[in-house]
Amino acid sequence: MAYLAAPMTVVPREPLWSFPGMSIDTFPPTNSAVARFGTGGSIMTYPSANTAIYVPIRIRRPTKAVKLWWSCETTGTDNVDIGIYDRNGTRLVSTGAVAKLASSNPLIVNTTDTGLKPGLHYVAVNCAAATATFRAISLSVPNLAAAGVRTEAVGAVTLPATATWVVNQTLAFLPIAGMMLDPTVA
Amino acid sequence: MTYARAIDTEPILGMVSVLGPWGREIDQVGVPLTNVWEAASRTVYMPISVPVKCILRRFWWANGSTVNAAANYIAAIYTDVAGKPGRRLNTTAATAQGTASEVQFVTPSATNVLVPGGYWFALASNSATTTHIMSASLSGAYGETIGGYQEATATPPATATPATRAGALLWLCGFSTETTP
Repeated sequence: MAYLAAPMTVVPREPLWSFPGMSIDTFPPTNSAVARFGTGGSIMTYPSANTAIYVPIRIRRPTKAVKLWWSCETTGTDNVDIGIYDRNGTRLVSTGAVAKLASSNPLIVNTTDTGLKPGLHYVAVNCAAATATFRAISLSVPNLAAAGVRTEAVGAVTLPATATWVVNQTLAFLPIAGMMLDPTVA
Repeated sequence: MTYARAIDTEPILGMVSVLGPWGREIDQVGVPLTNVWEAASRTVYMPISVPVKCILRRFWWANGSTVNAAANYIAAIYTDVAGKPGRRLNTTAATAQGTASEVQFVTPSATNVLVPGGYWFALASNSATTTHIMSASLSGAYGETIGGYQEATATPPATATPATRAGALLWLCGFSTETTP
């Protein structure tokens, strides 16, 4: 008589609450690698033109990013770029240069559907002007450096194919940005 | 029809912090601000839960707005023994406090492979004179219940003898799993 190497078990149905949300972004503690700081967003100008900000996020199950977004405010229609990088600094997808919204709304940009394996990733943003305003989290330095947020003086708005990031000890601007997982969101 | 359950895989963080996702990430923690180190010759033990195998490559702490270059800091990591810090696994040398309002990295002489489990991160200083470190305050009774333990020594010992925590601050410090940046 033969026995199975592993007992047969009923595979439980995935509970609805265990699915990932519609967005993985830089702020909520469920996905962000940045600590929950218990503070809300405010209107802030971009800290330095053509300087990319890389915010670590935790991807904990295979995920497909279909759109990228960044929370804008009312000043400026300057070009921005939003992207996703892996932990080695390789750009996986980006929007390319697109005009920022001059309103208090998230800029949502269609991108190539991009599969992401579980692992540490970075949501990257860049803006061509230091006068443009965004919804962001203001934190005293060096909180963001301690949270693993990195920057790079790119010199242009387009995010580089390979990041050459540094620890920015003076960064006090946490962008509110991320990726959409549901293609039905406008 | 049923589908196999998706299993979450926790990524290895680059910067592991006592206030981050592997630390005391709770609502009661306020925004880290600059505070003077609580007492000379004191080691503070703060809990970290490591959910995935990783390598400790560098220690770090976040200096506050005023620093004292004459003060030394030491960071260390300990095993967890019955919910308290036990045996020291790794430590930095005594290191002069660096630049104000910057994260100060210190590379130990050896790295550690940390298996999933509970650990205690220790930070110690020999001085409480203008030695500011970023820290978050825990409200009310949370300070004693989850803020950790302390010991009256400026050098984290090989085996901890933890005492009840007197303060309600969690100091912003941790380790990096990466060599750079």
